[in-house]
Amino acid sequence: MMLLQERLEKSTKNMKALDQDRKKANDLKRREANDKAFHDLVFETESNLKTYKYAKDHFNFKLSQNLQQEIQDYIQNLKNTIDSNTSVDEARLSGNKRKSRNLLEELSKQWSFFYQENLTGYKGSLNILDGLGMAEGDIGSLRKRLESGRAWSSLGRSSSGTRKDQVVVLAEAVDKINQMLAQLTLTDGIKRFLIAVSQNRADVTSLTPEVYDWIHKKQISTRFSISFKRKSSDF
Amino acid sequence: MNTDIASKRYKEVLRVDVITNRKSDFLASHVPFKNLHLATKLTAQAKLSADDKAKNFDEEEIYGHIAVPVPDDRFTLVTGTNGAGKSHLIRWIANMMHIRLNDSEVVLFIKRNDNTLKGTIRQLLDIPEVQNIHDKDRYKRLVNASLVVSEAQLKNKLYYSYVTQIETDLSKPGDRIVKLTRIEKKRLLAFLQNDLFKAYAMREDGPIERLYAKVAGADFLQGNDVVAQFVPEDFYVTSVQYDNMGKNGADGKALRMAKSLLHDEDGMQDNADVEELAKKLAQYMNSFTDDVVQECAGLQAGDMQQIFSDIRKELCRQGKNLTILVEDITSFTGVNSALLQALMTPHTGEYATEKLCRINAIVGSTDGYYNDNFRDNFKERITQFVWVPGNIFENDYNRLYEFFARYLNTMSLDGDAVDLWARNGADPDSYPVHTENIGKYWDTYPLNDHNVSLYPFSRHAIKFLYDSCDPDKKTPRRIMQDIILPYVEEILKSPEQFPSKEIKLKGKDIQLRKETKYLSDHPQYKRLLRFMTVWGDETAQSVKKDGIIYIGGIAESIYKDLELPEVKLKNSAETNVSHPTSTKNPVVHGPVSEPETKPGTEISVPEPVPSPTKDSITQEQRDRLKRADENLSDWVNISDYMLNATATTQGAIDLSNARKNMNKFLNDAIDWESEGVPVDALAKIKMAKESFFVSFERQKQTSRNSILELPANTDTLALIEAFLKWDIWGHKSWNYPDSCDDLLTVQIWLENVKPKLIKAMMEENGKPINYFSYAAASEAYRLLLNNVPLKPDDLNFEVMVQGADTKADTASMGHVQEWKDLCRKLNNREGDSIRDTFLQYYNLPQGDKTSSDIFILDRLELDRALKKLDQNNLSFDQQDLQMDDPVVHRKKFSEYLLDIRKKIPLVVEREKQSLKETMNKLAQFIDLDELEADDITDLLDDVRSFYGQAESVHIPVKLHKDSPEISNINSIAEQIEKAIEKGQSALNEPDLVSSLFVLTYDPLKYLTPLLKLLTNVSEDINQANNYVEREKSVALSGPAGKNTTYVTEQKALADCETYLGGC
Repeated sequence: MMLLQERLEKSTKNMKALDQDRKKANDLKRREANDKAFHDLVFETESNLKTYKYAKDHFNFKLSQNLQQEIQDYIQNLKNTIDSNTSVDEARLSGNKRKSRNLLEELSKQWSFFYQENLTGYKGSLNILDGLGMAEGDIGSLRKRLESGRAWSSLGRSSSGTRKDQVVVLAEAVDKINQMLAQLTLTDGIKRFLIAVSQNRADVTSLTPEVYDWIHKKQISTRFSISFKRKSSDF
Repeated sequence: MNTDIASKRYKEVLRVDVITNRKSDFLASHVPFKNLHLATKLTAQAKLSADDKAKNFDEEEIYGHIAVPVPDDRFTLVTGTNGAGKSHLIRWIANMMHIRLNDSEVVLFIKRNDNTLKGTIRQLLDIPEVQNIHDKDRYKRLVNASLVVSEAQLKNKLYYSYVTQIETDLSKPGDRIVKLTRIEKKRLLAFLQNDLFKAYAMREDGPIERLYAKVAGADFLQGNDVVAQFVPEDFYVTSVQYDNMGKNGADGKALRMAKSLLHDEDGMQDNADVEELAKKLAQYMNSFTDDVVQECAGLQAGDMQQIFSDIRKELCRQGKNLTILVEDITSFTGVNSALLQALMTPHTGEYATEKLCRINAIVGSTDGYYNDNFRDNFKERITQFVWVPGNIFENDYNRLYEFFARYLNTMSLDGDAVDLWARNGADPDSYPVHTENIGKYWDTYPLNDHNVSLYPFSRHAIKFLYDSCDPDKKTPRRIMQDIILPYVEEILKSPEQFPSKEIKLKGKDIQLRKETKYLSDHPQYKRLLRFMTVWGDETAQSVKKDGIIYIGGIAESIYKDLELPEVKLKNSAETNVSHPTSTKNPVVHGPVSEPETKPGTEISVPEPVPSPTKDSITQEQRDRLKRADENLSDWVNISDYMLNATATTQGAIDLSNARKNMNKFLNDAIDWESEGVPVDALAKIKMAKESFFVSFERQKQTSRNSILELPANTDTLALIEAFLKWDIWGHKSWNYPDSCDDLLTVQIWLENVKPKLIKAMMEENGKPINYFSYAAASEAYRLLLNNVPLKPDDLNFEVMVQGADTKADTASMGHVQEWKDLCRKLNNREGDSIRDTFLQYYNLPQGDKTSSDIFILDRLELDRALKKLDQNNLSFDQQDLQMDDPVVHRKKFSEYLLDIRKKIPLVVEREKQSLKETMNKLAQFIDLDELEADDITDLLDDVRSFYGQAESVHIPVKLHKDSPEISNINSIAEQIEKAIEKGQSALNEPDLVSSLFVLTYDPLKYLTPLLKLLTNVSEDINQANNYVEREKSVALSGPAGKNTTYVTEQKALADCETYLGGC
């Protein structure tokens, strides 16, 4: 039977070994966490740039030169984060995380500006098409798709599991509206009238004979109404 | 007496149950009743009213009131205490009715000895007039049907029938005379169902056996007054029975009932509540008895009444009436209620149509039974009461003598002669008198014209013996049983021992003892004194009459016949004394006479008390001496008489004072110092407040406190009387008349007793007194138990004396509880007293003080005594301890040391046992062999290191590296080393006292905390090991470290450049 002194020595030794094992385990855990964070960061970047590529292809959306350079630098930094292909440099990883957030923010801004300039007009076209009773069933869906492409963050692949990136869905909606507008074959006077109506700017003088005839011919008189113009004091 | 006839007949004549003897014997021995009482009702307390008590009736008058036929139904209850003569009176009435009445009155006397259920019915069916009654065959079958169950089965049936009755009463409470609470019933039920109590209730002479006799007709209880019912004593529980019930796992309710019934037989505790409860339980149980007995006997409730009804119808049809006499209703267990109901059914009123005959019932019952068992509706239907007083001979000694004379005469008469006399009408004038073949010159009693010999009694003896009886034993039955029968039996079988039975002589032998002192060494002296005091006239005076010499009133030849010692004649003279047997008048010998009797002699009787010649002694002083003398007389004469000298009554106080005065006299009269008796030894004797030198044999309470016991003999009696006179007559001086004789007696006694006393003071049972050694040994044990390292085989003077005040704090000891308990006990006041004696014994007294706080010890003597003591190694066996020392203040040292000696083995055993266990456990942790203090220090370093590591890896353990437990052990490392050495030595020491000495080091004090620490450390090691193992296993089962190459990430980054590059 082992006497106490021997047991004490053995137990003390075991506890020391335990101490060492614990330190190793902690290192391993930290490396795994860094790897995961690096992985997530790389694929988040990859996703955004992939969306960018679609937006560029479909809408001719282009980032500023400055931003493009910064992204190029950022990608290089990410590559440098992997230390000799064995581990992730924890400090670089942390810096890249911050850089990633900044770049994404700038990207979102530039898209938002682009959208405002180039895609919001499709909303008015949808209103005319809607007022003329054309493609009644698609108007809501197109308007929703158009609207959902406003923010950059919503352009990626939907988290709900749809197979298409939202930027592709947005491009398809714009194509559809263009096709519907092409089918109208309107004169310029009619076009002005419809634009004025859709913008609530049409008055009685806008109702020219050409317009009046076109309405009768198209049998769409019940689609229009006349009302008093509101005074500014009505607001 | 005619011994030829009497030796054959005395038993049948004296049969206690009067009903079983011959009718003729009954009539021949019958003494007419004189002082009976008659009443039509009793008081609420079931007593006679003062008016009724004042009127006395003789038996003939009573006969006229209760037996002479009248047209009305009548129920007479004859009552009185047990043995008063109720049965005798009823039987006499029955006999007289048979003689005096014609055939129109059928007289049926129901005998007590056939009073079972079936016996009663059998007697009824045997009446000649009812041979043709309706349903007689059925009744006969009932009577003759033998019980098919065994005794054990029937007893069980009886027992459980009670249980069933109580269960029924519990669920459907009946209208019982005695009511128990529901809880009491439940507890009683559980108690009855307990096996131990059941066995007790069914024991021989127990209540169930008494009942069994009544149901089964068993004959072993017939002929006595034992009533078949429960009595309170049946429920008394002894402490042993109670303990046994507890041990056998008795039901809780049964135990609680048993506890309520715990009866202290020694009377040390108040039993009133217990007795009250037991009485209540007995009454409650008895209220079921009728139902139980009838059920077990196979009878139905109405059977008895139906039989009576049929008999009465039959008698009515024949134009006859019925008188039924029941000797004792109490013995008709099981049918008494039914019987009473039947006897009280009138033949008029609503029963007139049934054509029943008139019934006259005369029923005997004890007053106790009447009080407890008669229901109110029965009481109301009693026509009259006849009261037979218990003590019918009180103040009527002539009647007592006649009672003796008739029985003694009858047993000496041929049975046929008595039968003939009875058949001829039992005429008193022709009363037969036996022809004596022995008893010449014995006392006689006149019956008609005959002098009937009272042999083997005298009237003085009859009166003396009667007066000596307890009041409740003065009934005719007890007199026959306790006086006539034993003395007749003895005179017939062993006259040379007559009278052998010791009798309290009440001091009436004092004078006689003096007169016959010359015979005091005779082996028959006590018998002679007894005979002369009780049978004779309490004197040794002799007279001569008609050539016959009478000594103390008894013919000289009688002494010779009885082989008594020869008494010297005193005052012998020819006188005119009439011989006791020749006079027609009743004669009572001796100084006692009754108003109604006149002494027929002229014998001169000396004064019972010695007459002082001066008037200085008052009558009160004489009376006091006489009372003390009476007590002393009984003490000398009765071999089991305990002398009362305990300061309770004046007589006892005088005797107590006499004893004290004797002791004081001895103390003052002996020069103890010159006789070589040490002061302390004398002091030990004097410390006893009561009898320190002498006591009396058979003395109550204090006889064991003396060193010399005075025997109960004539010499001691004279000595005590001398001291009584010194105190009472001389007022604590010898200044009283004739004191010289007493003084001489005392002086002779002093010289005689002195050497015995001195020897007794210095020796015990032939060996020198040794109480100092016991005190010293006790003190040595005390010191050892207080951890004083005193070598038992070399008791050191300084240690013993200087350590006397040592009293260790047991709370700081490591010893076992038994050691501490004994240590505390020896340190208490009794221990102080023992220590004082140890110190004082060889303290040289300064002045006349017997003790002092300043000691000037006799070192040489003390050393010598201690040397002697340590040779014994403090070992004393019980036989060495003088346990029989009569001096209580010496004996206490023996008892004290014995007590210690009895406890020491247990203390040492427990201490060793605990030490062994501790060391065995320690041996599992450390190697005890040759363990040194440094080893312990090293171990503690490892312990600290262990706890430091445990702390750094955050393992939860009991201690930490700076725990005081660890530093404490470190500070006593050297003591631990020694404790291990002492412990091993103690465990290897076979001798008890030597072990005790080794154990004074108190090894457990050091080893116990070490063991506690090491046990904790061991547990913490286990805890730490488990913790490490557990964590290891978790780590092993977790994900292994991956060898990452980041291929996918690098590809994604390349894609990023592609996506961006196309811009």
